[in-house]
Amino acid sequence: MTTYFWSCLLAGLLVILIIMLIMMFRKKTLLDKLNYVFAMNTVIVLLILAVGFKDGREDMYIDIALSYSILGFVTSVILAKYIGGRKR
Amino acid sequence: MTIQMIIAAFLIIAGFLMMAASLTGIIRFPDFFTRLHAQGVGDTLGAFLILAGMAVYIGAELLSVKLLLIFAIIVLTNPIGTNLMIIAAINRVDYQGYATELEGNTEPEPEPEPEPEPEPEPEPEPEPEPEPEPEPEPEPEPEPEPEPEPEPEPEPEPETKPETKRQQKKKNQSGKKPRRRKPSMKMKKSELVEEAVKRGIEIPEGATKKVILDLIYSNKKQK
Repeated sequence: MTTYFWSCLLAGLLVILIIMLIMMFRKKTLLDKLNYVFAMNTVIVLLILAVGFKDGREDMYIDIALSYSILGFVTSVILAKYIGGRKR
Repeated sequence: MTIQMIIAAFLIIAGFLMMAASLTGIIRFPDFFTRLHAQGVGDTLGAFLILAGMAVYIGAELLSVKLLLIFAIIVLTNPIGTNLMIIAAINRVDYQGYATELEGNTEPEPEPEPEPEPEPEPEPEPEPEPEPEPEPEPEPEPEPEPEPEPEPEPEPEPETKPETKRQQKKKNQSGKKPRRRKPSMKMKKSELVEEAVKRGIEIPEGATKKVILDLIYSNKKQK
């Protein structure tokens, strides 16, 4: 029962992630794509957690999600700084 | 099915609905800044509800503390990224004139066009004639470019020859930083009307502040 619930959550998050990916490639502005990357970061963290709960090994996957959240933040901040440029 | 699992399932379903709402908001909202707002819904409330549901499912252990630590990292770091993106968008799109000033731009773009022309000009020194300059230019709208330059408002000497003004401006640019002007969003209506008249924009009767702002910015984008 619980495995079924976690796999349902996994499928739902995966659908959200795939829709975000498709929309990211369909948008034309650079900043819109960056917005989708930011939103995908959070969804991927939750997705990793859902995978862990489905397998029953959440103690390992929680650490992976923790490190991924920090890494995704660093990536998106560097991208935003690079695109935005420096103020005059 | 204990009551703990029911509470966890309820929290997680609510969080998933929040994520779906944020996704529809990102897709369907009309403006970039509203899209950023819709992303914030999923980042804060959706992530919090899902992580709290997982923590309730685990129970009182160290792992639930780690889950809340993930939430703390998301909440601390996502506003920073969103803020950087807003700054990038404002600098790129020039939203409501916060990045560049309306008159007397510190940008290097409009300067090189009138600068080569004053060199043949010094012959008719007694009569200041900045108007005949834009006419030989083949551009359809030459008026708004040279006009805002010889009339920077906050300078203390409003009635001097345009050439001396240019020299003063050069001194200003080489020496101290020019004083930062009010963003056009915060100007009063009379100031906005003066701006529009300087740029050669016709204002319709009974125009509100917003209409004048839209006119000015639409004129600016055409350059």
